[in-house]
Amino acid sequence: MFELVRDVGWRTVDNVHGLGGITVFGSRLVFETLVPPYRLRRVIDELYNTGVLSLAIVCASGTAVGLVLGLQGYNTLVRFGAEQSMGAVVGLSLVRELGPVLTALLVTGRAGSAVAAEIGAMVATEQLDGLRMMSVDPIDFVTQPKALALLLAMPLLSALFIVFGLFGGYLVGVGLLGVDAGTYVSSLENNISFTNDVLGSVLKSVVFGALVGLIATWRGYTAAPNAAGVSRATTGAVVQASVATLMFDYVITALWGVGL
Amino acid sequence: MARGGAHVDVVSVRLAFGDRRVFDGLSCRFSEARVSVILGASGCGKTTLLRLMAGLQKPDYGDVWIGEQEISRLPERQIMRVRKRLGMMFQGGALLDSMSVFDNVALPLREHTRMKEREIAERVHRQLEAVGLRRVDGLLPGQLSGGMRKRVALGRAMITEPEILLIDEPFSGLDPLGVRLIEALLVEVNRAKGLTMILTNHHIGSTMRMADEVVFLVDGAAIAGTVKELKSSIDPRIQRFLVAAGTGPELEDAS
Repeated sequence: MFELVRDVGWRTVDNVHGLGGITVFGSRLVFETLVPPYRLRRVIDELYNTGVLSLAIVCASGTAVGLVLGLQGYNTLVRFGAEQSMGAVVGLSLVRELGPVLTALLVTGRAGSAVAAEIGAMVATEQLDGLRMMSVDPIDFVTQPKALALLLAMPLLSALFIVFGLFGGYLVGVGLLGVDAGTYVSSLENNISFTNDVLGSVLKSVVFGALVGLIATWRGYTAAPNAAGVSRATTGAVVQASVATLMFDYVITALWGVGL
Repeated sequence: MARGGAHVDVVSVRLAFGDRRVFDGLSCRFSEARVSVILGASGCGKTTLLRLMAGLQKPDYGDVWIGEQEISRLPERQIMRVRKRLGMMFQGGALLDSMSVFDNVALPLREHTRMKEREIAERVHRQLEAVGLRRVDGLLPGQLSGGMRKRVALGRAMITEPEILLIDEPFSGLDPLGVRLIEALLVEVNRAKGLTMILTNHHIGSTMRMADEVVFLVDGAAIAGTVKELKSSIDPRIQRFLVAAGTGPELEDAS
């Protein structure tokens, strides 16, 4: 019994310590983003690594999700004679939920894991210590451009995911199942509100971008300096960023839904 | 030109990693403008001592002085300022993988000076030539041999002309010719620039040839002296190490 209490105590202390660490680290990232030097060149390089290199997977996944949504949506709506609402169902699902959430999960798997592994490997090979010895702050030089790039890339990738998803839904609905093209588009246009749906979607993707950037860079930065440490950091980054994305999705949906 | 060396003092340092005590009241001094070699068995804390002097590791207790500045209790931002007086060559080089040789060596100048790109290029090429490297600008660290990587790392550590150069195992993984090359380079730099050079070393022959002072780490404490004093020491721990490390002609040659 005593050992159980002791273990729970230590775990709690560890978690609180970790939470404090990531909060301080996050504040440092914000500080380094706001104050000079602005490392534009490095941010652009990282935007290419995290954003451009994720384009193919995001576009392909968006199309596939749109195709499935189209099929499932049609099969359900047709039972109620409401197949003319297919554009709205596909559009609302993508804009409000699937676009930002699935994009965040895809980017976490592709770019977040790469960021954590790269920074972890830099820890293991003393590259971050090498920077410190040149009086260069590794948070400013290495982690901040990567985190900022993830934050900037996420809304753009999410928008692309949604566009390709809508296209997939259109292909199935109009091309395969015979829904009228004008009905699909007008249903989409009439039911998606800019303030409620689109802005909510943008907010979600920005928050998810910030979360993935923060967690991936933090896990890499605090990796143990060995192969197992890098592996743990990479896995931890993917798991924690994915869970955080889903939890924050609920929180934002709940708050946005009640008009906060 | 370099600003000349500064001394380093380590005073009553205690440090433990979990249950393993590395230093137990370690005190030693590294004189300015001298070549000091830290010797000791594997795992005795040679690299940790270098990291303490670099401010990369905080002691549990005790002081570390760089010249007249105590660094062990300074916040990271202030240690960054002190580190401008230091250069460090890591065992594996610690070159940034994603940047070319040129960019690696130019990085400290780009970060801390207002030099124009043309001036930086001149300075970097001069530095690379000083460490015996030509036409390597565009290569990535992964394309270099171990010896070349060490030389690039040495060039980068010296580009800002530090007062103190900390060098971790400069000869590990090098063939005998490589050892002689780096050794000659380090001695030349020390004589020409007058900087304080502190290195960890397993290679007893090069230690005997280069060192003005030797700090021998044993049982969490330090025994310091000149090469001559070390060799004539009657301390059985030192004798055991010297016999084990320098048996055969190497030690004889060196002496």
